[in-house]
Amino acid sequence: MNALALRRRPLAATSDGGAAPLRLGTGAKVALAVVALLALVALLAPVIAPYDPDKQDLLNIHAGPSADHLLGTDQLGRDILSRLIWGARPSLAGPLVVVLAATAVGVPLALAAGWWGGAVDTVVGRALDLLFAFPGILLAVLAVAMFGSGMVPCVIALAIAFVPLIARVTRSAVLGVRGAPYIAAAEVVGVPTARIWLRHLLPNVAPIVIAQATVAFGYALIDLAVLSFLGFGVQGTTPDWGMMVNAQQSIVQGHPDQAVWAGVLIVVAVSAVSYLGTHLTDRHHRDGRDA
Amino acid sequence: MSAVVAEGLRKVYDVRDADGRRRPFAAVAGASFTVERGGSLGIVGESGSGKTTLARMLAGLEPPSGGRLEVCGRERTGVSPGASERRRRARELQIVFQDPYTSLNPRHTVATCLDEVLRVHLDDPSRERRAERVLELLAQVGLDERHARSRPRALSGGQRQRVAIARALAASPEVIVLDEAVSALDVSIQAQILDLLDEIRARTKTTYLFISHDLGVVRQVTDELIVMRGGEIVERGATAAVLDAPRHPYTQLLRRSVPGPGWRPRRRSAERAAATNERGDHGWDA
Repeated sequence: MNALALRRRPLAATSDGGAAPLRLGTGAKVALAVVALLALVALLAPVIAPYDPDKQDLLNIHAGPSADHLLGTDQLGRDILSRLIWGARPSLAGPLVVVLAATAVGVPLALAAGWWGGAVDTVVGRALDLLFAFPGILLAVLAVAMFGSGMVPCVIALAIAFVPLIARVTRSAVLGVRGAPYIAAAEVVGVPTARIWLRHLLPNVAPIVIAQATVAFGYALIDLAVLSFLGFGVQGTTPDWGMMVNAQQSIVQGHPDQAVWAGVLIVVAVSAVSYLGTHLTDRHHRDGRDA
Repeated sequence: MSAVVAEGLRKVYDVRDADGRRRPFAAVAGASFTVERGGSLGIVGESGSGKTTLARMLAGLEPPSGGRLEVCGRERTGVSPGASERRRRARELQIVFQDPYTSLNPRHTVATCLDEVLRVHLDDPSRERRAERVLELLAQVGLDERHARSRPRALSGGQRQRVAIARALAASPEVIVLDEAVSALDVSIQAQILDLLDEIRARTKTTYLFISHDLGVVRQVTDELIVMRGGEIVERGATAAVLDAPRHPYTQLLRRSVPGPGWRPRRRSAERAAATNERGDHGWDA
């Protein structure tokens, strides 16, 4: 171990190599705090939103910021802050479902491809390449064309489109671990294959899967916002950041407030999540080198 | 009865040559040998001589391309075995790898590592019995309760190799293949592990297949010896006889290659290059 490694992992000698607590850099800590804050806002929306997000006040439209309405009101007199707070729910839950579903499908595919190799790997690999060449947004637009607008077809289509994103990275991680002598030893000693997968393979590829899923979350958030912006995603009066960016009427009339705020939130959320994902990926590669 | 019988065991890979053409390359080109129960066979040879491929075939990690392999009187075929067959094979033959830094899962404590094997192999796999057996196994390899709670990162190379040996012993195998099992350890630790292996063999009558490039080590722990070169067995016999009076020129070269007083690496390299040209050097360890 060189001096650099010693400085980076000061606890390595005493911590006994146990399940290492998450040690993050300052930037990643800030990013994590931002993500946690946004998640908290989404969860506590009913408690912290000052107004009902759908309550219209037609006598008080396009009001500027005031003590009553901190960020003003929109074209129907609804409180913008409340709509942003409630909008965190679909805006964050959508990509979360996309990433969880893509991981649930992609990881087993990658495990099978990486473990058995040969024909299984070829078939899975080609299918993933094919899917990877197909833009997620296009798939979602197709789904909307077939099943109608709404959050559900968009999320399902994106989840399918995101499978290769997760699976390709996972597969190469599996290949790396597959060749490890401790896997060979477990095989020779008669440990059941299912247990080798669960106890040896998965835990050792998990860090890279989590890192990649975090990066994918950022992409999914943007894609879903774009779909909502285009009018394919979230429907009706449900508050959603992507839809709020598309408040054309207000923008034309010289009131871009809600579009700007929603846009800022999207940028902040995606930046924080992407930073976190990249940081986790880098850290994994670094650890891999001196392990 | 013989513990291991190999007849014409072959492993052929498809490799691409410099022009990108596929051609077969025999990592092991027909190895035949027999090890009696309780015996200890050394397999020596340089890198790329096919030793490790042979070990992997014995352990079932690599399907042979041809030939016959019998362990403990039962034929091993290339067909992928089910759970019960794998368990049975595990009790016949275990393997200890060269590098104790990669042969233990970094996430598992020593106790977890051994417990996992005992779950499969103990007749009474209750929690208490397993915990008891973990300590017995550790005691056998000179470790104790404190090491049981450690992860590999907290152990030295020698301690890790002791754990790897304990893992092999956990399946109570008839045969243990030691693939360069002491090569990664420094000399004083090597001696300790070799003593440990001797002691285990004396007590349990386990059969050893000891693969090494280190002639001194082989002399200490094996009764019989085969010398491999380019995938073929070029010499065989009682260990002392082969090492003291090697008949094959390659074995003579190997013996002269051991560093000692008055040893000149350059002269050995030249000799080796001259000898290699006869067959063509593949330059990689399969």
